[in-house]
Amino acid sequence: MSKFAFSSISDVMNMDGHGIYVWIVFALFFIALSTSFFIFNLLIKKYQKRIK
Amino acid sequence: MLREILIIVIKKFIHQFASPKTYFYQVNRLYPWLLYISISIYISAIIWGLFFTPKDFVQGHSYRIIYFHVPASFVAQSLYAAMAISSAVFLIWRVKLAAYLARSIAPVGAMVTFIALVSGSIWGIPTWGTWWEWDARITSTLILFIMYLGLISLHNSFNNFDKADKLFSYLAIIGFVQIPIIKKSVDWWSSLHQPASITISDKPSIDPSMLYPLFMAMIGFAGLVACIVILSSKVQIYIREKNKNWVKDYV
Repeated sequence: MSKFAFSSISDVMNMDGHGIYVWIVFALFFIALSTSFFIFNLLIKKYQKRIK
Repeated sequence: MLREILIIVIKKFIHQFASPKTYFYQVNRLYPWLLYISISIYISAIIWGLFFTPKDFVQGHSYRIIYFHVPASFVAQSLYAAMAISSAVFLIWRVKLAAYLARSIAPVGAMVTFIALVSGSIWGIPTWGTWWEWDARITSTLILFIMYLGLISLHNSFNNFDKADKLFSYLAIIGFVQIPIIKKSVDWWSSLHQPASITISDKPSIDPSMLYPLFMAMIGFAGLVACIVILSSKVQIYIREKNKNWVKDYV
């Protein structure tokens, strides 16, 4: 594994001005994946209730 | 003699695994393992890729979007291939589980294609100076997204599941022609999108320090998406098999 690529937390957030793009994409993936898990689990519960 | 035994074993395996009941119980056992292993791999890959890989000398830190965009694009196309194969299995061998799987892949494929498109657009702003270009790769991926939506709408427009499954399967197979077009679009047409960095035939054009976390991200993301497909297929089984005794007993 390589060395830590940044010198401070603000460097991590800023990423030489590219941080906004990287973190928006990170948030998009986090939201999309967690929403998908949430919705399908909700649907499973809904249909289980109907069957009951 | 050996051939006959082999055929009997294969038939028995297909017959058993093709049963929605067997599939349901098997994936229930597999799901927690797959979920936790995939989450661990994906989180490790993202931490490695975002914080411990060197800065790219051309794109700077914006290249780190690769750890999200490439796995999503790869999985979006792989899901369509899986959907087309399931559709073919349904049409050839009349395995109803294959139809359930094909239908359950479609919404997940649409979601993954959408995030691949959006992450690509965001990556385009610092790299190309534009968020959208009617470039061959981007346009063909947009068509893939529209195809997923079209297949979902088509299936939902029928009350009869048999008819819906048949038409859905035929169109999914026809639409498979889109996958090699997406793959080869950067080679066939002059494109703003960069050519593939990882190919089967050539050495990767990406440095190993950036490549290993990318492979890990692809495996972890594929595992997470497989978990979502499992959940989606369970929804399909509940909808289609709601009157079966084993479903009632399970619930």
